[in-house]
Amino acid sequence: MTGFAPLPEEDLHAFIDGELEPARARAVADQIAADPALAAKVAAYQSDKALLAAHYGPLIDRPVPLAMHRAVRKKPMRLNFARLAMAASVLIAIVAGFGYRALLPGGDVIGTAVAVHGGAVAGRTIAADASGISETLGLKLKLPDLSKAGYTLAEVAAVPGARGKAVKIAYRSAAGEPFTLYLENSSGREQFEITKRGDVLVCLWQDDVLSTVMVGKMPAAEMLRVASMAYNGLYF
Amino acid sequence: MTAGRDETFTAALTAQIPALRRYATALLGHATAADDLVQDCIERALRQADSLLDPLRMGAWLRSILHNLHIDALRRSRRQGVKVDLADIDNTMAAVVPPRDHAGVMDMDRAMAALSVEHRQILLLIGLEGLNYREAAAELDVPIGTVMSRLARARERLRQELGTVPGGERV
Repeated sequence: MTGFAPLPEEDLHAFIDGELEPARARAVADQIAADPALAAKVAAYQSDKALLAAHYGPLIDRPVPLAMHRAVRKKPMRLNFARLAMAASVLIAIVAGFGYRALLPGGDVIGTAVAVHGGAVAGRTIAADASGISETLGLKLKLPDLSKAGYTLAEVAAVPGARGKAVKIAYRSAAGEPFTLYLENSSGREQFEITKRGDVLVCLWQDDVLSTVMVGKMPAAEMLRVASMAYNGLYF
Repeated sequence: MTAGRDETFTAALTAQIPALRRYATALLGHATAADDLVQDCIERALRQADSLLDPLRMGAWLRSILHNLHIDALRRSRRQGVKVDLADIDNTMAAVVPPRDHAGVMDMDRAMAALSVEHRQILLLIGLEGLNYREAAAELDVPIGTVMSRLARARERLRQELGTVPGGERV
Protein backbone atom coordinates (compact mmCIF):
# COMPACT_ATOMS: atom_id res chain seq x y z
CA MET A 1 0.00 0.00 0.00
CA THR A 2 1.11 3.54 -0.64
CA GLY A 3 3.30 5.17 1.96
CA PHE A 4 4.17 1.96 3.77
CA ALA A 5 7.04 -0.47 3.39
CA PRO A 6 5.82 -4.07 3.13
CA LEU A 7 5.15 -5.40 6.64
CA PRO A 8 7.39 -8.35 7.55
CA GLU A 9 5.37 -11.41 8.65
CA GLU A 10 7.33 -11.50 11.93
CA ASP A 11 6.18 -7.96 12.78
CA LEU A 12 2.60 -8.81 11.98
CA HIS A 13 2.66 -11.67 14.50
CA ALA A 14 4.61 -9.63 17.05
CA PHE A 15 1.82 -7.06 16.73
CA ILE A 16 -0.83 -9.73 17.34
CA ASP A 17 1.09 -11.04 20.37
CA GLY A 18 1.68 -7.60 21.87
CA GLU A 19 5.45 -7.91 21.49
CA LEU A 20 6.14 -4.65 19.62
CA GLU A 21 7.45 -1.46 21.19
CA PRO A 22 4.55 1.06 21.58
CA ALA A 23 5.75 3.36 18.79
CA ARG A 24 6.22 0.48 16.35
CA ALA A 25 2.86 -1.01 17.38
CA ARG A 26 1.12 2.28 16.55
CA ALA A 27 2.81 2.43 13.14
CA VAL A 28 1.82 -1.16 12.37
CA ALA A 29 -1.77 -0.48 13.52
CA ASP A 30 -1.92 2.50 11.11
CA GLN A 31 -0.59 0.37 8.29
CA ILE A 32 -3.16 -2.37 8.99
CA ALA A 33 -5.98 0.19 9.14
CA ALA A 34 -4.99 1.51 5.72
CA ASP A 35 -4.91 -1.91 4.06
CA PRO A 36 -8.12 -4.02 4.04
CA ALA A 37 -6.31 -7.11 2.73
CA LEU A 38 -3.72 -6.85 5.51
CA ALA A 39 -6.50 -6.23 8.07
CA ALA A 40 -8.30 -9.40 6.93
CA LYS A 41 -5.09 -11.38 7.29
CA VAL A 42 -4.46 -10.07 10.80
CA ALA A 43 -8.06 -10.85 11.76
CA ALA A 44 -7.70 -14.41 10.46
CA TYR A 45 -4.50 -14.98 12.46
CA GLN A 46 -6.05 -13.48 15.58
CA SER A 47 -9.07 -15.73 15.17
CA ASP A 48 -6.83 -18.82 14.73
CA LYS A 49 -4.93 -17.94 17.88
CA ALA A 50 -8.18 -17.51 19.85
CA LEU A 51 -9.60 -20.74 18.40
CA LEU A 52 -6.54 -22.70 19.47
CA ALA A 53 -6.71 -21.37 23.03
CA ALA A 54 -10.47 -21.95 23.25
CA HIS A 55 -10.25 -25.55 22.04
CA TYR A 56 -7.26 -26.80 23.99
CA GLY A 57 -7.67 -24.56 27.05
CA PRO A 58 -10.45 -26.56 28.78
CA LEU A 59 -8.33 -29.74 28.66
CA ILE A 60 -6.70 -28.48 31.85
CA ASP A 61 -9.89 -29.26 33.78
CA ARG A 62 -9.81 -33.03 33.26
CA PRO A 63 -9.49 -35.10 36.44
CA VAL A 64 -5.93 -36.38 36.85
CA PRO A 65 -5.67 -40.19 36.59
CA LEU A 66 -4.80 -41.97 39.81
CA ALA A 67 -1.71 -43.50 38.21
CA MET A 68 -0.21 -40.02 37.79
CA HIS A 69 -0.87 -39.02 41.39
CA ARG A 70 0.88 -42.22 42.36
CA ALA A 71 3.81 -41.67 40.01
CA VAL A 72 4.48 -38.29 41.63
CA ARG A 73 4.38 -39.80 45.11
CA LYS A 74 6.78 -42.55 44.03
CA LYS A 75 4.93 -44.91 46.34
CA PRO A 76 3.15 -47.47 44.19
CA MET A 77 0.88 -49.12 46.74
CA ARG A 78 0.38 -52.69 45.66
CA LEU A 79 -0.93 -54.42 48.74
CA ASN A 80 -1.26 -58.11 48.06
CA PHE A 81 -3.85 -60.30 49.62
CA ALA A 82 -1.49 -62.08 52.04
CA ARG A 83 -0.13 -58.83 53.49
CA LEU A 84 -3.64 -57.50 53.68
CA ALA A 85 -4.95 -60.55 55.51
CA MET A 86 -2.07 -60.44 57.97
CA ALA A 87 -2.61 -56.77 58.73
CA ALA A 88 -6.30 -57.38 59.17
CA SER A 89 -5.95 -60.36 61.49
CA VAL A 90 -3.54 -58.46 63.72
CA LEU A 91 -5.91 -55.55 63.81
CA ILE A 92 -8.99 -57.57 64.49
CA ALA A 93 -7.15 -59.23 67.39
CA ILE A 94 -6.17 -55.86 68.84
CA VAL A 95 -9.60 -54.43 68.35
CA ALA A 96 -11.23 -57.44 69.95
CA GLY A 97 -9.00 -56.99 72.98
CA PHE A 98 -9.24 -53.27 73.55
CA GLY A 99 -12.40 -52.10 71.90
CA TYR A 100 -12.30 -50.26 68.62
CA ARG A 101 -13.17 -46.70 69.59
CA ALA A 102 -9.86 -45.64 71.06
CA LEU A 103 -8.04 -47.16 68.12
CA LEU A 104 -10.03 -45.68 65.32
CA PRO A 105 -7.89 -43.33 63.23
CA GLY A 106 -9.77 -41.62 60.44
CA GLY A 107 -12.92 -42.17 62.50
CA ASP A 108 -14.74 -39.37 60.68
CA VAL A 109 -14.60 -41.19 57.40
CA ILE A 110 -15.59 -44.46 59.00
CA GLY A 111 -18.40 -42.87 61.00
CA THR A 112 -19.72 -41.13 57.90
CA ALA A 113 -19.49 -44.31 55.84
CA VAL A 114 -21.42 -46.28 58.47
CA ALA A 115 -24.10 -43.57 58.58
CA VAL A 116 -24.30 -43.63 54.78
CA HIS A 117 -24.58 -47.43 54.81
CA GLY A 118 -27.40 -47.23 57.34
CA GLY A 119 -29.34 -44.86 55.07
CA ALA A 120 -29.02 -41.94 57.53
CA VAL A 121 -27.50 -39.64 54.90
CA ALA A 122 -29.52 -38.34 51.96
CA GLY A 123 -27.75 -38.70 48.61
CA ARG A 124 -28.24 -37.71 45.01
CA THR A 125 -28.23 -40.52 42.46
CA ILE A 126 -25.48 -40.11 39.85
CA ALA A 127 -24.50 -41.97 36.68
CA ALA A 128 -23.73 -45.60 37.57
CA ASP A 129 -20.46 -45.66 35.63
CA ALA A 130 -16.87 -44.44 35.75
CA SER A 131 -17.81 -40.88 34.77
CA GLY A 132 -20.22 -40.31 37.66
CA ILE A 133 -17.66 -41.33 40.29
CA SER A 134 -14.72 -39.65 38.59
CA GLU A 135 -16.48 -36.32 38.23
CA THR A 136 -17.69 -36.27 41.81
CA LEU A 137 -14.27 -37.01 43.28
CA GLY A 138 -12.03 -35.42 40.63
CA LEU A 139 -10.13 -38.69 40.28
CA LYS A 140 -10.16 -41.13 37.40
CA LEU A 141 -11.83 -44.23 38.81
CA LYS A 142 -13.81 -47.21 37.59
CA LEU A 143 -17.02 -48.64 38.99
CA PRO A 144 -15.97 -51.92 40.63
CA ASP A 145 -17.74 -55.03 39.37
CA LEU A 146 -18.35 -57.30 42.36
CA SER A 147 -20.57 -59.82 40.57
CA LYS A 148 -17.89 -62.50 40.89
CA ALA A 149 -18.22 -62.17 44.66
CA GLY A 150 -21.99 -62.42 44.33
CA TYR A 151 -22.81 -58.73 44.77
CA THR A 152 -24.99 -56.82 42.34
CA LEU A 153 -25.03 -53.05 41.96
CA ALA A 154 -28.02 -51.29 43.53
CA GLU A 155 -27.27 -47.55 43.38
CA VAL A 156 -24.53 -44.96 42.92
CA ALA A 157 -25.04 -41.65 44.73
CA ALA A 158 -23.14 -38.49 45.60
CA VAL A 159 -23.31 -37.89 49.36
CA PRO A 160 -21.87 -35.29 51.72
CA GLY A 161 -18.64 -36.76 53.11
CA ALA A 162 -16.53 -36.27 56.21
CA ARG A 163 -14.21 -33.81 54.48
CA GLY A 164 -15.90 -32.98 51.17
CA LYS A 165 -17.79 -34.70 48.41
CA ALA A 166 -18.16 -38.47 48.71
CA VAL A 167 -19.64 -41.30 46.68
CA LYS A 168 -21.82 -44.14 47.91
CA ILE A 169 -21.88 -47.27 45.80
CA ALA A 170 -24.54 -49.63 47.12
CA TYR A 171 -24.43 -53.35 46.33
CA ARG A 172 -26.65 -56.22 47.41
CA SER A 173 -25.63 -59.81 48.11
CA ALA A 174 -27.53 -62.76 46.69
CA ALA A 175 -29.25 -63.00 50.08
CA GLY A 176 -30.31 -59.35 49.80
CA GLU A 177 -27.79 -58.10 52.38
CA PRO A 178 -26.62 -54.52 51.65
CA PHE A 179 -22.91 -53.81 51.12
CA THR A 180 -21.67 -50.23 50.81
CA LEU A 181 -18.54 -48.99 49.09
CA TYR A 182 -17.88 -45.44 50.32
CA LEU A 183 -15.33 -43.26 48.50
CA GLU A 184 -13.87 -39.91 49.49
CA ASN A 185 -10.67 -38.01 48.78
CA SER A 186 -7.91 -39.09 51.15
CA SER A 187 -6.49 -37.08 54.01
CA GLY A 188 -3.16 -38.12 52.52
CA ARG A 189 -2.22 -40.73 55.10
CA GLU A 190 -2.02 -44.40 54.17
CA GLN A 191 -4.13 -46.61 56.40
CA PHE A 192 -5.66 -50.03 56.45
CA GLU A 193 -8.06 -51.08 59.20
CA ILE A 194 -10.86 -53.54 59.71
CA THR A 195 -13.18 -52.86 62.64
CA LYS A 196 -16.59 -53.86 63.86
CA ARG A 197 -19.30 -51.27 64.42
CA GLY A 198 -22.46 -52.59 65.95
CA ASP A 199 -23.46 -55.51 63.76
CA VAL A 200 -21.51 -54.39 60.65
CA LEU A 201 -17.89 -54.90 59.73
CA VAL A 202 -16.02 -51.87 58.38
CA CYS A 203 -12.89 -51.94 56.24
CA LEU A 204 -10.99 -48.66 55.76
CA TRP A 205 -8.50 -48.84 52.93
CA GLN A 206 -6.85 -45.46 52.43
CA ASP A 207 -3.95 -44.52 50.22
CA ASP A 208 -2.50 -41.10 49.44
CA VAL A 209 -5.36 -39.99 47.20
CA LEU A 210 -8.42 -42.05 48.05
CA SER A 211 -10.26 -43.18 51.19
CA THR A 212 -12.21 -46.35 50.49
CA VAL A 213 -14.54 -47.60 53.22
CA MET A 214 -16.43 -50.85 52.86
CA VAL A 215 -19.37 -51.59 55.14
CA GLY A 216 -21.43 -54.75 55.39
CA LYS A 217 -22.71 -57.51 57.65
CA MET A 218 -20.29 -60.36 56.90
CA PRO A 219 -17.42 -62.41 58.34
CA ALA A 220 -13.91 -60.88 58.22
CA ALA A 221 -12.67 -63.34 55.60
CA GLU A 222 -15.55 -62.42 53.30
CA MET A 223 -14.88 -58.70 53.92
CA LEU A 224 -11.24 -59.17 52.92
CA ARG A 225 -12.18 -60.93 49.73
CA VAL A 226 -14.77 -58.32 48.68
CA ALA A 227 -12.64 -55.37 49.86
CA SER A 228 -9.70 -56.55 47.78
CA MET A 229 -11.92 -56.97 44.73
CA ALA A 230 -13.53 -53.56 45.25
CA TYR A 231 -10.28 -51.67 45.89
CA ASN A 232 -8.52 -53.18 42.91
CA GLY A 233 -11.62 -52.71 40.75
CA LEU A 234 -11.48 -48.95 41.23
CA TYR A 235 -8.30 -48.46 39.26
CA PHE A 236 -7.75 -48.07 35.59
CA MET B 1 17.45 -33.60 49.06
CA THR B 2 15.87 -32.99 52.46
CA ALA B 3 12.41 -34.26 53.33
CA GLY B 4 11.05 -30.69 53.33
CA ARG B 5 12.40 -29.85 49.88
CA ASP B 6 11.21 -33.23 48.67
CA GLU B 7 7.67 -32.46 49.84
CA THR B 8 7.73 -29.02 48.20
CA PHE B 9 8.94 -30.53 44.95
CA THR B 10 6.21 -33.18 45.03
CA ALA B 11 3.52 -30.57 45.68
CA ALA B 12 4.79 -28.32 42.89
CA LEU B 13 4.99 -31.24 40.48
CA THR B 14 1.45 -32.34 41.35
CA ALA B 15 0.20 -28.81 40.72
CA GLN B 16 1.77 -28.84 37.23
CA ILE B 17 0.15 -32.09 36.06
CA PRO B 18 -3.15 -30.71 34.69
CA ALA B 19 -1.32 -28.13 32.54
CA LEU B 20 1.30 -30.64 31.43
CA ARG B 21 -1.41 -33.12 30.39
CA ARG B 22 -3.20 -30.40 28.44
CA TYR B 23 -0.01 -29.42 26.65
CA ALA B 24 0.85 -33.06 25.86
CA THR B 25 -2.67 -33.83 24.62
CA ALA B 26 -2.69 -30.80 22.33
CA LEU B 27 0.84 -31.55 21.10
CA LEU B 28 0.11 -35.21 20.32
CA GLY B 29 -3.59 -34.93 19.44
CA HIS B 30 -4.15 -38.21 21.26
CA ALA B 31 -5.24 -38.43 24.90
CA THR B 32 -3.92 -41.89 25.76
CA ALA B 33 -0.54 -41.41 24.10
CA ALA B 34 -0.28 -38.04 25.84
CA ASP B 35 -0.98 -39.58 29.25
CA ASP B 36 1.67 -42.26 28.66
CA LEU B 37 4.11 -39.51 27.78
CA VAL B 38 3.20 -37.46 30.87
CA GLN B 39 3.64 -40.56 33.03
CA ASP B 40 7.15 -41.10 31.61
CA CYS B 41 7.83 -37.40 32.03
CA ILE B 42 6.91 -37.50 35.73
CA GLU B 43 9.20 -40.46 36.30
CA ARG B 44 12.11 -38.79 34.56
CA ALA B 45 11.42 -35.49 36.35
CA LEU B 46 11.63 -37.27 39.71
CA ARG B 47 14.95 -38.85 38.75
CA GLN B 48 16.34 -35.54 37.48
CA ALA B 49 14.87 -33.31 40.19
CA ASP B 50 18.29 -31.80 40.85
CA SER B 51 18.46 -30.44 37.30
CA LEU B 52 15.61 -28.02 38.04
CA LEU B 53 17.61 -24.87 38.69
CA ASP B 54 14.75 -22.40 39.08
CA PRO B 55 11.62 -23.79 40.83
CA LEU B 56 9.56 -20.95 39.34
CA ARG B 57 10.28 -22.35 35.89
CA MET B 58 9.04 -25.85 36.67
CA GLY B 59 6.42 -25.74 33.90
CA ALA B 60 9.05 -24.98 31.25
CA TRP B 61 11.38 -27.59 32.73
CA LEU B 62 8.66 -30.26 32.56
CA ARG B 63 7.70 -29.35 29.00
CA SER B 64 11.34 -29.65 27.95
CA ILE B 65 11.60 -33.13 29.48
CA LEU B 66 8.32 -34.09 27.85
CA HIS B 67 9.45 -32.78 24.50
CA ASN B 68 12.74 -34.70 24.64
CA LEU B 69 10.88 -37.90 25.49
CA HIS B 70 8.46 -37.28 22.62
CA ILE B 71 11.26 -36.71 20.11
CA ASP B 72 12.99 -39.91 21.32
CA ALA B 73 9.73 -41.82 20.86
CA LEU B 74 9.22 -40.38 17.37
CA ARG B 75 12.74 -41.46 16.35
CA ARG B 76 12.09 -44.95 17.69
CA SER B 77 8.76 -45.28 15.90
CA ARG B 78 10.30 -43.99 12.68
CA ARG B 79 12.85 -46.78 12.88
CA GLN B 80 10.25 -49.39 13.76
CA GLY B 81 7.42 -48.17 11.57
CA VAL B 82 4.20 -46.76 12.96
CA LYS B 83 1.30 -48.98 13.86
CA VAL B 84 -2.14 -47.42 13.69
CA ASP B 85 -4.88 -48.98 15.74
CA LEU B 86 -8.39 -48.09 14.59
CA ALA B 87 -9.68 -48.59 18.15
CA ASP B 88 -7.51 -45.60 19.06
CA ILE B 89 -10.00 -43.30 17.38
CA ASP B 90 -11.88 -43.23 20.70
CA ASN B 91 -8.84 -41.62 22.25
CA THR B 92 -8.43 -38.79 19.81
CA MET B 93 -9.28 -35.25 20.77
CA ALA B 94 -12.91 -35.64 19.75
CA ALA B 95 -13.41 -38.01 22.68
CA VAL B 96 -12.08 -35.66 25.32
CA VAL B 97 -13.83 -32.41 24.47
CA PRO B 98 -17.51 -31.52 24.91
CA PRO B 99 -19.70 -32.73 22.02
CA ARG B 100 -20.91 -29.27 21.00
CA ASP B 101 -17.34 -28.38 20.01
CA HIS B 102 -16.72 -31.46 17.93
CA ALA B 103 -16.83 -29.83 14.51
CA GLY B 104 -14.41 -27.06 15.44
CA VAL B 105 -12.09 -29.35 17.33
CA MET B 106 -12.00 -31.85 14.52
CA ASP B 107 -10.91 -28.97 12.26
CA MET B 108 -8.29 -27.73 14.72
CA ASP B 109 -7.17 -31.26 15.49
CA ARG B 110 -6.86 -32.17 11.82
CA ALA B 111 -5.05 -28.93 11.04
CA MET B 112 -2.60 -29.33 13.93
CA ALA B 113 -1.95 -32.95 12.97
CA ALA B 114 -0.83 -31.78 9.55
CA LEU B 115 1.88 -29.59 11.09
CA SER B 116 5.37 -30.56 12.21
CA VAL B 117 6.03 -31.10 15.93
CA GLU B 118 8.21 -27.99 15.92
CA HIS B 119 5.36 -25.89 14.55
CA ARG B 120 2.77 -27.36 16.93
CA GLN B 121 5.15 -26.70 19.80
CA ILE B 122 5.68 -23.00 19.06
CA LEU B 123 1.94 -22.45 18.44
CA LEU B 124 1.07 -24.02 21.80
CA LEU B 125 3.78 -22.26 23.78
CA ILE B 126 2.66 -18.84 22.56
CA GLY B 127 -1.06 -19.41 21.94
CA LEU B 128 -1.98 -21.84 24.74
CA GLU B 129 0.64 -21.53 27.46
CA GLY B 130 0.82 -17.76 27.03
CA LEU B 131 4.61 -17.47 26.92
CA ASN B 132 6.12 -14.27 25.58
CA TYR B 133 8.81 -14.46 22.88
CA ARG B 134 11.66 -14.11 25.36
CA GLU B 135 10.34 -16.97 27.50
CA ALA B 136 9.76 -19.17 24.45
CA ALA B 137 13.31 -18.45 23.23
CA ALA B 138 14.70 -19.46 26.64
CA GLU B 139 12.61 -22.64 26.77
CA LEU B 140 13.55 -23.70 23.24
CA ASP B 141 17.13 -22.49 23.67
CA VAL B 142 17.03 -20.51 20.40
CA PRO B 143 17.37 -16.77 19.62
CA ILE B 144 14.22 -14.62 19.70
CA GLY B 145 14.54 -14.14 15.93
CA THR B 146 14.16 -17.88 15.48
CA VAL B 147 11.03 -17.89 17.66
CA MET B 148 9.54 -15.13 15.51
CA SER B 149 10.29 -16.72 12.15
CA ARG B 150 9.20 -20.17 13.32
CA LEU B 151 5.96 -18.77 14.74
CA ALA B 152 5.23 -16.89 11.50
CA ARG B 153 5.72 -20.07 9.44
CA ALA B 154 3.69 -22.17 11.88
CA ARG B 155 0.76 -19.74 11.85
CA GLU B 156 0.84 -19.58 8.07
CA ARG B 157 0.73 -23.40 7.86
CA LEU B 158 -2.12 -23.55 10.40
CA ARG B 159 -4.04 -20.91 8.46
CA GLN B 160 -3.62 -22.94 5.27
CA GLU B 161 -4.89 -26.09 7.00
CA LEU B 162 -7.81 -24.40 8.76
CA GLY B 163 -8.75 -22.51 5.63
CA THR B 164 -8.97 -25.68 3.60
CA VAL B 165 -12.30 -27.45 3.69
CA PRO B 166 -12.18 -31.27 3.34
CA GLY B 167 -12.97 -30.95 -0.37
CA GLY B 168 -9.74 -29.04 -0.83
CA GLU B 169 -11.13 -25.59 -1.58
CA ARG B 170 -9.94 -22.49 0.24
CA VAL B 171 -12.59 -20.55 2.13
